[in-house]
Amino acid sequence: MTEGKISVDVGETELVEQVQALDVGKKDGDGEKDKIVDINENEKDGTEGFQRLDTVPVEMFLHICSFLESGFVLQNLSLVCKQFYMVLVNQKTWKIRQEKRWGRNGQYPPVPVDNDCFPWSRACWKREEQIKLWGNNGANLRNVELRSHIACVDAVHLFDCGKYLATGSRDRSIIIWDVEKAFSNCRLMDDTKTSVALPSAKAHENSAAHKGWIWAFTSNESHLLSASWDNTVRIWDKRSNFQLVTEFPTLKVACLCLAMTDNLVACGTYHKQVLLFDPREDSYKPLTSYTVHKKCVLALGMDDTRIISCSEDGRTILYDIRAQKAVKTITLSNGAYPTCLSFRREAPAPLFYIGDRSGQIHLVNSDLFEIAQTYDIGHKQIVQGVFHSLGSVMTCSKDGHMKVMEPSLGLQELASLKIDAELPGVHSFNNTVALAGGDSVVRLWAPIEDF
Amino acid sequence: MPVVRLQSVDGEVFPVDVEIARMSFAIRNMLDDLGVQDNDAEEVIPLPNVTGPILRKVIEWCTHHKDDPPPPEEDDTREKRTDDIPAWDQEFLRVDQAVLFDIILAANYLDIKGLLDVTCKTVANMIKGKTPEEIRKLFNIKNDFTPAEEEQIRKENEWCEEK
Repeated sequence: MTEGKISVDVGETELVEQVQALDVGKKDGDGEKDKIVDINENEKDGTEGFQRLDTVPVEMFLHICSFLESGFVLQNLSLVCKQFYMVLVNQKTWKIRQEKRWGRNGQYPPVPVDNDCFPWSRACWKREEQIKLWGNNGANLRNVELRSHIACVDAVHLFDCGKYLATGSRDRSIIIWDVEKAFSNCRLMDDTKTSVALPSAKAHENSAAHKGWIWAFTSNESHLLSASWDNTVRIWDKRSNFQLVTEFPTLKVACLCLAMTDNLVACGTYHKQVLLFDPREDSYKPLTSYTVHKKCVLALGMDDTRIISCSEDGRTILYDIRAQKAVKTITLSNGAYPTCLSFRREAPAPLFYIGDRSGQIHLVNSDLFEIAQTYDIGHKQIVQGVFHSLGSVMTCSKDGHMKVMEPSLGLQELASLKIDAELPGVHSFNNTVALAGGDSVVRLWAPIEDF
Repeated sequence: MPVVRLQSVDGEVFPVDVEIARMSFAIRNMLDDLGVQDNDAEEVIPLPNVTGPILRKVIEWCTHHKDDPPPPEEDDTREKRTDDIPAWDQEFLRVDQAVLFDIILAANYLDIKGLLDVTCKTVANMIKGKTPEEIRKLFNIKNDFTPAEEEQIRKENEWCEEK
């Protein structure tokens, strides 16, 4: 880290002049690579040279960086010069930073990963952001309430990088909210000091989206899918004002959960089947279905090769799509049935969380398909939603609590919010969080504008 | 109060109270290794990596902070702060950049955690909120990237969440 370093013996009072001289010398000496002097050699000489940000030893540079936010360091310091970039592009730099900062909280990620493939810099960035947002009594968060539904909201789904939020309710309507507008087009309620979004924050509204309660959403690049107690899954075109593309009837049974990849949709039903559709086809029949559960299917997760389903029968089952069979089963040791899961198909670490009927949550190693750890985080009733990212784990419960946890194995609590309603679901994208409410209110949080 | 004598690389000798000198874990270890007793006041400890002016600053800082309580345990669920530098330290560190970096190196070499942290925080505060170009200007660093390379690094560090 010593390019352009000039070795001079200097007293304190002469420093300013010397720095000015150095400036001149640097301009003249551009390209004089032979001026490179090793710091250690210099120390052996017993001479004192000018130290600068780009000449101090790497560990000092990183100690300075440790007082700056990871996102800032990556986006700004990386761009200063090649020498900084080479230090900061090294993922080991960030692995060490995390161990220093949070090592006491237990292993992170909480299941084993291939250290060379894990995105340590992004993880560090995301963890710091979540702490800044949730570990700070909300000082860096904006929040707004969406009060347009007139019945319990069971489904919330952020899409297009968190720019839009779909909300689905027992009032049978679907509303698409422009998230940024919800924060800007709002009024402050005098009595409770809460911000409530104005109707102008809606990007779209369909008051008769289904003929029954709307229970779940999923989406891909082009479509938003909704599942309902009216026994249908409906596909809405994101690119043409959410027009109905088609609907899949589901064997006259309520649709409780959805998951999708680019070319397959899975729908879990009240009558224990999982139905599979091709979202690119206009066919009205499922490609196939499978029945591995004995009771209704409550939650689904999938990637290109496997489907994970949670059921009221107490089991969480791993299904191999190509082999068309169940390959592994998890039964919770506390005897409770699983109610929700946080499987993400592009997750950088092989893990997800399950929430259960009793209020506990369970960390699953998805490579082994085994429970790695069970947590009692204080929920007194059924966990209805769980969401995880590199930076946090969020849960919501019928007991009216939403909790945000630090994502190490220790799962330390960052925040716990008490709301006077049951909380059917939580979803997050790029630091925006949407919380479904049994009181027909959707609560939305996002970082403050200059975050 | 027993005294040790610290000698800088340029030969300046500073008599320092043992308790203050022992705030440096490096000196503490040297004293312990040498088995220096209270009555060995004439013992001189050479510090080949620190100049007189810098050593004077380090001793001044240690003297001011000799009665500080140990720093509180860091809370992992709270944001790391840099706005908590005491006024005296802010004034004390209002020095030329080169001096500041020399104090950082001395604090590291002498293993004085409090001084290392407060100096590194000071540099971090200088950097905070600045653009790459402003940082280069502030620290006199040459931009050795091509525009294409800059663009590539920008892309690498755009936030894109996993699905």
